[in-house]
Amino acid sequence: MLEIKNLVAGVEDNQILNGIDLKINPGEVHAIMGPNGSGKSTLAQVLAGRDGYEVHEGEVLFDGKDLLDLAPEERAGEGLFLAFQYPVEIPGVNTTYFLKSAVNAVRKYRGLPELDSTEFLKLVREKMKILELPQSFLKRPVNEGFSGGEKKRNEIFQMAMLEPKLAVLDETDSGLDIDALKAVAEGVNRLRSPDRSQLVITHYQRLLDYIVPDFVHVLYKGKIIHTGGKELALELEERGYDWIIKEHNEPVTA
Amino acid sequence: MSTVTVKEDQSSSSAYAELFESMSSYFGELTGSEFMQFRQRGLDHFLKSGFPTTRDEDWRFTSLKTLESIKPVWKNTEPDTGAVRQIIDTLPFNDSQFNRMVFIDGQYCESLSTIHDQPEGVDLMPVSAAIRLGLVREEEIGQYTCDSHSNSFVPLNDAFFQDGLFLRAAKGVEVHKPVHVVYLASGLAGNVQFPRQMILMGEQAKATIIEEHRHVSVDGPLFKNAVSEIFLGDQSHLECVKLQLEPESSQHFGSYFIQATKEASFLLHSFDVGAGLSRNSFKAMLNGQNINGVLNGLYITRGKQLSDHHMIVEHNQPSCESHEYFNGILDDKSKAVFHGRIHVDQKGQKTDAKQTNKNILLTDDVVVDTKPQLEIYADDVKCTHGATVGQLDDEAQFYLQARGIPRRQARKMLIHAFASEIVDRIQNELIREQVDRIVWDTLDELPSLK
Ligand SMILES: Nc1ncnc2c1ncn2[C@@H]1O[C@H](COP(=O)(O)OP(=O)(O)OP(=O)(O)O)[C@@H](O)[C@H]1O
Ligand SMILES: [Mg+2]
Repeated sequence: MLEIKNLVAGVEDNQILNGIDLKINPGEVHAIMGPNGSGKSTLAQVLAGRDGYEVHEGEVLFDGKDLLDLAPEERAGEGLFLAFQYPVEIPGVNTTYFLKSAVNAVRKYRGLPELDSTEFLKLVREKMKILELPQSFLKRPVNEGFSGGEKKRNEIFQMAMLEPKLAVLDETDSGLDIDALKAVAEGVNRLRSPDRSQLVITHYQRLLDYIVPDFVHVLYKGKIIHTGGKELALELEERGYDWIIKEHNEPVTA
Repeated sequence: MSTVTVKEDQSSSSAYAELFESMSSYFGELTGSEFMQFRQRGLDHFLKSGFPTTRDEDWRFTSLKTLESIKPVWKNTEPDTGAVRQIIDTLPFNDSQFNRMVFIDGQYCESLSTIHDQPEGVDLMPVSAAIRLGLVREEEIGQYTCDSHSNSFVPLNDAFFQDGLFLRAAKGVEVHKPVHVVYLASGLAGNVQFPRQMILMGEQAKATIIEEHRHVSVDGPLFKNAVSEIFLGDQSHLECVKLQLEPESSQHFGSYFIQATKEASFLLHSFDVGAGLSRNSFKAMLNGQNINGVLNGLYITRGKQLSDHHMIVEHNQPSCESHEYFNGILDDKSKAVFHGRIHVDQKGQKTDAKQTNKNILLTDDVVVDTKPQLEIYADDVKCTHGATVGQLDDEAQFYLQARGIPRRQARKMLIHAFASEIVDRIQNELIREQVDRIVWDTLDELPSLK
């Protein structure tokens, strides 16, 4: 599904990602953990196509297509979704209107007929229930004045509406109370299927109790320095990153 | 060099002296001999001052070279109502929901106008009719445009004024249905137009007006110079929307004078999207306590257009509020000027005056000159002003794109949101919806969003 090969990228002369290799097969859930500033959000933004990040080396294939060659909206059309660590407030753009534009743009890209208002509202109601969002959300401008937790729920709600093949969740769990965390996990798990995958960026093991990963990677200074199974998250929670960083700095092969 | 300039000035002024000669019999018919002195005073004033130049502080960013090159022509012809009716029928404000008054090349066209039955105390008609009926006397015209003589467009209009909306509402009455006034240029009667509006609101009277400037099919340059005089009695309320949709060949000048008294409230909206050059001046004189005034505007420019708003708000009495909100969207090589002066008199204690001017630049070749000016002579006041000039928020744009919305559409959504900040302040829902549609259509035509 997603294949990242030796990805080197940064901002202007500041190199942030130093050769990332990662392969995600259909149906898999991968988690990325790592200290602050290690490059997790940068990776997510580069995948989504944010302007301003320069890719110096490497390639990213998404279902065999050269992802880096596509505009952000084309990536979304292909089935990539990024839940932002800091969702953007967009004053003056009504949430319903925004969602409908997004759903229909993606459907159009995928060669599906656009939804009319009735069909759209039916879909909205169905998905809102999962995330326990109040109807009043729809009338408000996108994310404007939303609490931190509401913004994160709104990200997952959008994900549920767009039904991506690959969802990248950038710290969607931070700032959530326990009920919201469960609702978010429920939203993600409903999307799980043999042909969909998730890449979950988090600092906490807690989320991974609900969204159980197949692999856990440790990102450090723009490189994946360690990969394990779901039990690695538990170990990191107990022991922190120091031991892995030490191992990485003094390779056993020496 | 300097002799050449003087000569040019003289020649453009003398063209108006000739024009005045040729129009005098028309003026006689229109407003009778009573107004001839008033007209003559205006002409004399204009001939002495001429058009302002960029050496004049108030006109520093707005050159009138093109205007001066227009040789004014007037022909006393009947308008082509057939062609105009076709346009009128497509206008978004239909005459069952609105009173409609149509002026073609400055002349009232009764056959295309609809004035609904009004309650006792409302006089709604063209200014020419009000003069003929004796509702406006010579000493009454021009009484609200006082000390406007730094702006020679007012004396020029005094000399040449043709016709326009006359609305007078007596104490406590509300004008039945909003009034839609259309000033259409057809070019048949020449290339100059001088609309004149008078809006006189009695105590507690209420009205809503939409003033629309359009054209039929005009080639060649046009010069429109409109003056509006507004008086707002105690506790009266007026909402007025100006919609300027003229062709790029047009040079549009509009001067509004508002005199408000105790507890009056008003909203004046200026949507300025047409004309090669437009200069919209608004002068609000708050002459009573507790007046609430909103001056709200949006300009959208492209090509080589220049849109200029020149605002003066005078707080002459205590406890008045004034809010100015102006947003601009500039494309291609266009220019905008926003000049906002707030003057607080010694008596203007507890004034609350706010002014914001925000601009989005869609290319690197556009120019915005924004100039706030506060003159405060009272000590207990709240006055704020702010101006921003910037690009679209690219984080927001990326967010929309990341949700699958194509770049062009994403940009249009954001710009529309920016425009909506202004459109949403229109209180009349029918007008708000239609203006919103016009804004969308205008955005669709912007080269940067195609
Ligand atoms: N646009 C940018 N300009 C300059 N530096 C940047 C930019 N984006 C990221 N960086 C830097 O790159 C490094 C990695 O940032 P990134 O946001 O990817 O970290 P992260 O792993 O997501 O951290 P956190 O856990 O705190 O969210 C940081 O040092 C950050 O300051
Ligand atoms: Mg991050």
